[in-house]
Formats: sequence, structure tokens, C-alpha cells
Amino acid sequence: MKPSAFLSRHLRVYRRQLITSAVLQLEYRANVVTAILTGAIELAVTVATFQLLYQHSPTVAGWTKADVLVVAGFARILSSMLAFQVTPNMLDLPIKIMKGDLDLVLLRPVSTRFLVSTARMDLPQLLNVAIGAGWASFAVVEAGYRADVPGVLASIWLLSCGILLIYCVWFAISTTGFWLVKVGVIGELFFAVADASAYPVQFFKGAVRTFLTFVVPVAFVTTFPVEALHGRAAWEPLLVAPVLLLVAFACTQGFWRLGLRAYTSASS
Amino acid sequence: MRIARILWLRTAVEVARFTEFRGAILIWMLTLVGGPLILLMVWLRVADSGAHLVYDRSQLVSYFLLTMWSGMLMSVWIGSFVSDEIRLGMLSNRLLRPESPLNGYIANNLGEKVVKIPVLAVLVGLIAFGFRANLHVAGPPAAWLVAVVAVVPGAIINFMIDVVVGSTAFYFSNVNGLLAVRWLAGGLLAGYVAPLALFPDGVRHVLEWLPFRYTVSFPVEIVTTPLPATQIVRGLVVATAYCVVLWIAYRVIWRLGLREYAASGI
Repeated sequence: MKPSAFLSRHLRVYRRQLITSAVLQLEYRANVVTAILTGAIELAVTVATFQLLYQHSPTVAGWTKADVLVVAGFARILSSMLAFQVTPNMLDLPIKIMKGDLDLVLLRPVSTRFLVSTARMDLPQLLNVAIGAGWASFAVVEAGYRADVPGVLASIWLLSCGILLIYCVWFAISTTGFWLVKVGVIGELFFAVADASAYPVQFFKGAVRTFLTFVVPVAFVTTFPVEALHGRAAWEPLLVAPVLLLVAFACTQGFWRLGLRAYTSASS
Repeated sequence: MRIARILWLRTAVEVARFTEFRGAILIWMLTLVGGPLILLMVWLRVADSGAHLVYDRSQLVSYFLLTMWSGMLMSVWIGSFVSDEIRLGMLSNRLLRPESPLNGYIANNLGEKVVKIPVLAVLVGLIAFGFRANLHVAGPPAAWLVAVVAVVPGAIINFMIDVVVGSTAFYFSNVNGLLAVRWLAGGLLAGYVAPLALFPDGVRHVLEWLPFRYTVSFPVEIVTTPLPATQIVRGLVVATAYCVVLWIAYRVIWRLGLREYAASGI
């Protein structure tokens, strides 16, 4: 198949998955209110936490309160994007493997990984993405950042790479479901990591900072994009992010194929 | 004591059941210690920035290490169970038994905590080792004893809030939003992100009169701040009062709610 035909087929499938999810969720309209309410409270809790932290000191690890309020917005974008598409599918994947439901996906003439990663989308979360982006923009203006075009582009670039990186990490963990039972619960660890994403990575030292930069790379989603908007970005993350992403994609793809080979349908 | 015997038996069953979930419990405990650990590192960073905090470094370390314990010992997860069982009609099974419908939930809560204790002990021990440079747990033994006692009303408050919020499902079809609000807002107001001593005075006075503080920080503050005797006594009285109020609220909601309850599909 030509690459363009491959791409357009997958885009069509993605659109269809999106519509299916939308139709399903229109049956549960109250969830929209719940999602926005919890999203707004999460943002409020983060902002209140920063109020507490900064009443004692004007800067922490080189970050002012105005700076970290921008980070809070990016952290909201991250958790909402994860909740939109990553969390539901990554929690479902080990169950599909365990129950043998993967059979139905394997038979389709589209990438299996693509199908299992896009099967469910929690559309109300897109409103939370918008709220996070709105808050981030507001905080950028309040902080008086330059936020020129290269800065904005760089931050969007880092944010996108970072979210895909985190997806890859979670995908690798869910893939272990081919060999282990009950890996779904590991997904809960991501909620703790999402907590850490609300703080600039410089707040942490040593091994924890390395972990948040390279292992579960939330730094690429929150800290680095904000630095880019501030105009004090180092250029390294801009280049490191896509390289890391390519490596992560290739590794998880290999791991996924290994897993598929071990797949024995419902008896696994 | 018939009720004590029933609870003992049912808790023993839950303990046996939950030892089957050792892997999951390890992950849950990692998640549980993750939050306080992040906040501890953040607050130590604030202290590094030259801030004059009411809590010094060793107090911060003890506070957040102990909130891992108080968070687990007073934790509760039944809000969504209660609401689901009401909504889906599974509550009928509990209603048919010649005992309080709460017994099963209480046993589940206690049983799971018994299994979690050794796992948490290992994790907190490892973290404490990591922070050994700032580890000075002082405080008179009497304060520790009172702190342990203060866990009991805190656990009851937390449990009864979940029961009351969950049982609004007698009237509303979806209470997940309400439960989420209770968790998110409650976490901040409970002293999960900071000891009450680090809140502005005005806010702190309000928090002392809300129930949430007693579900996380109160027992910890008794040994780390340490709280003076008058404040400990007042806190215990407030906490006990909340237990009574929530118990009455539960009785009222269930008495009225059971009239609305129609099981499933009827």
C-alpha cells in the first residue's frame, strides 16, 4: 500500500472512531458536567497549592509564581489529553488481551496498534483541554511572557512530542499484558506521575528529575514548553524530543510485535 | 457482642481475599506514597529557596511520611460501591441479611487495610531511609498515643462521608461528580498538600472547623507541630461531633432513601 493511501485510510478510521465515541457518549450527557467540574476543581486545587507554596518565598528553584501558574495550565492540558484518549484505551488493552477480544481487532485490515490506541475517546475531556489551554494563555499574559511565534511553535512541538512519549511508555506497560495478568492496575501509577507534572521539573533533584525527564517524560509536556514560551528555552529539548519519540516508537513497536507473537487468544 | 463477632469474621474473610491481590496492593501503595513524596520534595525545595517556614526540614519530612500512614489508615473507597449498588439494585443482597448493611463495607475497609499495613511499612521505611539526613521524629510517647487514638474518629468521618455522599444515589442517578468533588477539594482542605500550620491564619481557622482536616492531618499534627493540649482536646471534640452528625445524616438518608429504592428493573 502506498504511504498516502495508508495514511488516508487511518485518518478515515480515526474519524469514524471519533464519531462512534461521540454517539456513545451523547447517551451520557451528564458526564460532560462531571468532567468539567472535576477538571475545574483540579485546576483550582493546583492553583491553591501554588498560593500556599509561594506565600513563603518569591521564587522556588528559579521559578516565580507567575511562571508556575503557566505550568499548571500545561499540566491540565496533559492530564486532559491523557484522559481523552490514552487512559481509556491503555486500561482496556490488557483486558482485551486477557479476554481474547483482541481477535476481533487483529482481523481488521488496519494497524492493530492504531485500532487499540484509538478505540475509545472520552470527548468531554476535550473541553478540559480547552480550559487548560485557556488558563495557560491567561497565565502567559499575566506573567508578561514574550510568547513570540517561534516560542509558541516550540512549545506546541514539545507538548505534542511529550504527550506521544508518555503514550508510548504507557503502551509498553499495557503490552506486558501479553505475559502478565492484571497489569491494568499499573496505570494507576500514572495518576501519581500526573500530579508531579504540575510542578516544574527543577523542583525535583537527582533521580526523580531524571525519571520525570526521560522515563515518564512529563518535563517535555509541562516544563520545557513553558520555558519555550518564556523565551529562555534551551534548544536541546527541541531536538531531543523527536529523537526520543522515534526511539520510543520503534522500541514499543518491537515489543508489541513480540507480544502479538505470544498472543494465544482467550486461552492466554 | 454479636456485632463484634460478625465484624471480626467478615474482616477475616476480607483479609484472606485481599492477600490474593498482593501485586495490586503494592501498586496502590506506590500510588498512595507518590503524592506525599512529591509534595515533600516540593516543600523541601521551598525551604531551600530561603523561605522561613513554620515547619523546619525535619518536621516537613515527618509530616509527609506520616500522612502516608494517616492517608492509608483513614482511607475509604466505598462511595462508588454504595452508589453503584443502589443504582444497580445489588443493595438488595445486603438488605436481606439480618445485620446492618454497613457491616460488609466496614469489613471490606478494615480487611484491606490489614493487608496494606506491611506493604506500606516497607515503602515508608525505604523512603525514610532516603531522607535519613532530616529524619528526627521527636514528640513525647503520649502524643503518639493520642495521635493513634485520633485516627479512629478520622477514619469514621471519612467512611461516613463516603456513605452519605454515595447514598445520595437514592435520589440522583450519577453521584460520581459529587464523589470527585469530595476527593479533590477534600484533599486540599484535609492538609494533604501542606500542614495546616503553613496555611494563612484565616484559612486555618476555617479548616479547623471543617471535617476534612480530621481525615488526614490532625493525628499527624499532634506529633509533628506538635499541637498544644487544648487544641488536641478541641480537635477530638470536633471530630467526635462530626462522627455523630454524619451518623444521624446516614440514618435519615437511608430511612427516607429506602422508600425510594426500587431495586433494579422494577
